[in-house]
Amino acid sequence: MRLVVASGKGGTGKTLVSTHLAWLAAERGLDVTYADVDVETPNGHLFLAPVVEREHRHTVLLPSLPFGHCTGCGVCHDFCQYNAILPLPDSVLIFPELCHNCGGCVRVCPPAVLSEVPHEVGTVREGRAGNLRFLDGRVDVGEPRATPLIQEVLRRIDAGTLAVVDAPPGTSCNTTAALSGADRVLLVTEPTPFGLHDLRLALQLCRTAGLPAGVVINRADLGDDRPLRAFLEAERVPVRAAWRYDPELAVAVARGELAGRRVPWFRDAVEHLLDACLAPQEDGRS
Amino acid sequence: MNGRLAVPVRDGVGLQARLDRQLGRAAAFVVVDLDGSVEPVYLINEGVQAEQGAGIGAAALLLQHGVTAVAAEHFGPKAEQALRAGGAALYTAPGGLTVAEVLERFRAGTLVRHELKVY
Ligand code: SF4
Ligand code: SF4
Repeated sequence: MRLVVASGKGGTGKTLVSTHLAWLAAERGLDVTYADVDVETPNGHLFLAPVVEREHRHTVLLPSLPFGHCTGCGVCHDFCQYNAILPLPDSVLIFPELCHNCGGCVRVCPPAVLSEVPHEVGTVREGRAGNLRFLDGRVDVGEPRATPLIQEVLRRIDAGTLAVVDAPPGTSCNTTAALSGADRVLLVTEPTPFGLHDLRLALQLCRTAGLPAGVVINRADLGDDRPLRAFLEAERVPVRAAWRYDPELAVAVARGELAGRRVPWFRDAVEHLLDACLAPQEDGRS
Repeated sequence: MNGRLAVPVRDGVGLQARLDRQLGRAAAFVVVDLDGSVEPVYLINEGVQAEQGAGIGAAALLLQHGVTAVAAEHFGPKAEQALRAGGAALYTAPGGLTVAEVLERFRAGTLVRHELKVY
């Protein structure tokens, strides 16, 4: 089963939740993989302290015009669905930030003057943290497209195991890429007006993708949580867990420790959350 | 005067159409032949709905039609890069002008050249 932990915005405690779920599932003896695909700022490793066993640079193929005579015919541009290649009289201008690496332009070019060259986008790491299998991806600074890297990390998850995925916050293409292949989604939120607004969008994204989502309310006493609760009730979105602010948690997070190791009530709360996530779903989906 | 001037427009066709705000998201373009040998051409911006790269699509369309100068209120960064690569000169024109007014200023040399930003 693949459980994706996401949030409408950053800083809501998504990594706190995902690292604890993975850690406690591994403590139960389950075969579990933690995959951090919050590739702009992968933080899970700070808390799980994995031993990295393999590291690899991920590349995508970009079209390029190394030599040969481009006729400026524009066939490549007409083919490209992403407007990523612009024909000029005797050359082409390629926009890597728009290119989806399909290779189509290279294949359709009549004089066959385009070729594909590898372009590095980021680093994928594999390792172990105790019983836990650890995966993360970090996109290179300035690299405009992170989705290929996210897909690469997800591809390395073994089928048939429990996977906990730490998704990029928000509702961007990156979040969408992280949701692909999910069986269930947990959205971590806080009871603030901004939190609610972003949660709404994230929920919409899950619904569009046909994914059942539950909510975790972090720091539930931080603001007035009534609008949030009312919204979730009206939308029939289950609250899987809710907990108060505890300075002990903040201290553990600041030190890069798993808070559940030193805050017993929090460990219990996540154990319950894990039970809820592993239980068959109300609507009959498993 | 040689070359072709393109202007992104909304409401209206010919020279009375008004300047649209941004190139990639403009409804259409009017392309004016500067030596007057060809009637102005009206091009629908079919790429306006593109999820991304609308500016590049627009630039490709204009370059295909032999445009050598473009006047707009705003240029998106990609449209700008694409048009410059295609050798077009870029000018900033205040929004709300008609194509005829833009053309008049262009001929009088009072349109401001849109300089390359160096970051
Ligand atoms: S590889 Fe595909 S997406 Fe990239 S420029 Fe070529 S056709 Fe477009
Ligand atoms: S299809 Fe090939 S020849 Fe035609 S414009 Fe593109 S790169 Fe040049």
